[in-house]
Amino acid sequence: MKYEDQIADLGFEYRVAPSRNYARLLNERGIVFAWAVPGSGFVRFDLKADMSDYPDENIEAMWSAGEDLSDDARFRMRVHGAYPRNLRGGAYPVQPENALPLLHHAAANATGRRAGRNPRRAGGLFAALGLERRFGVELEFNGTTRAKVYDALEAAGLEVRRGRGWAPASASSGQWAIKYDQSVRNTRTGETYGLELVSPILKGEDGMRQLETACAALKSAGGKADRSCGIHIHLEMRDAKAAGIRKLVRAYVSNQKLINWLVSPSRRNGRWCREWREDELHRLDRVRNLSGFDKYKTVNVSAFPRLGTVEFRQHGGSVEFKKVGAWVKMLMSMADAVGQQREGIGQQDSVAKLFDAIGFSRSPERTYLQNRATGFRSRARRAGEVVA
Amino acid sequence: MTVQVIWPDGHHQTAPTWQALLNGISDMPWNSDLSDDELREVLVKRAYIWSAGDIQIDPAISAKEFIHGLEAAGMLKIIRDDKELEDLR
Repeated sequence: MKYEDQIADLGFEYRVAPSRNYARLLNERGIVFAWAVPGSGFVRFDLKADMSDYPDENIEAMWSAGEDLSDDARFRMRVHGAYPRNLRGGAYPVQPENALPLLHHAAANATGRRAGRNPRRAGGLFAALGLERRFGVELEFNGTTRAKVYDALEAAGLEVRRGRGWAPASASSGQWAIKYDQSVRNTRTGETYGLELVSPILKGEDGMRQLETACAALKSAGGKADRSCGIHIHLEMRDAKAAGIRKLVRAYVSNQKLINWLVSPSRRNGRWCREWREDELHRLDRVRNLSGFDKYKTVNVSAFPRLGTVEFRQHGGSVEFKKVGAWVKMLMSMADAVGQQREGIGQQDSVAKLFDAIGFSRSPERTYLQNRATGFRSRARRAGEVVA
Repeated sequence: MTVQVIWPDGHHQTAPTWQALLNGISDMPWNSDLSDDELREVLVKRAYIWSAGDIQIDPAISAKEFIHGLEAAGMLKIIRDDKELEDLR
């Protein structure tokens, strides 16, 4: 089927204006502007909420404002602050092969003013486009052997790279690997030390499914996580700008007290995931070079030069996907929000407000984490702690 | 000749030549989907970010100059003798 016909099937009218190098896609619910960006290999889309009752000159102004696509951003959301709140839109450069998924998503979600009320609603676009941030997961565990876990992972259909010693695999080839971790308690299973399951680089829904499968396999093989174990999440920062990493650390640390309620007490300022101190934050803001910050922090920036990632180390160990998946999604929302909001997310005064600020939308994962926070707070109150 | 560097996360990397060291970076997780040219571009960008815009490396220079550029940006430390390595560890 021809491209234009597929677009028509989605209910869009397709108009090409060669002089402006764009196609304008209209239906009764929304407008998508598709721009071929000369020489870039990109087709860029501006998705707007329903503006049918707004004057044409406003729409024209958006078109012209939409031409400042940065060269290196895979995507950039630009909020049109000059327009009423319900007219916010986003600019998304996408590869041509991702155009149709975007249009599918637009057809399903560009539902006029309702969609326009929440600019973060557009976050779902990334899922439709397969443009989500890549992530990696390290699950520390004990209670079993690496051979048993490898067998379980393979039986569950995951690719593994078996090996011996400290670092049997780089996990760069789509394979799950297990390595020793001296910080993890050895439970006398015959292994020399505690263990760590290292994911390949994951992305999108497929990545989350793999993670769920791996957690189930680890659990079925007898894997356990005690207080010596942690979960480390690497988020790719390929789209970061110069200030992006500082902003991400700031976003996390500014809300450290709230985030502490999302993790078990043993992970609050733990040995392997120290909170950022005031003097370190001060230095983070003042020094130009980001070197010299300790690796064992809640947010570890030291992996960025080598891997291009920022690592989040605070969550306690678990083999439960419910916990791991919710944590990954929350962090992903935070990194995306920081990348999209010039002013940062600031210091919030409740977990719910923090989740709103980072666009962590209503979902089972959000509810789970909120309930977890409530549970930890209640427990702390019962224990006589002062809970702010 | 052995080239040795240590990264801010403590990862110690050795290679027989400067180019082999770059190849080793290319083999690391998160970098392995990049071509040689793309890797250089990505490292240039990381160096720019890491140094808050102080260091702009020319991606076309020799492997040796390139890695020295990464060092200037604070992205890694070139180990000049074993004692230095011990000190850094």
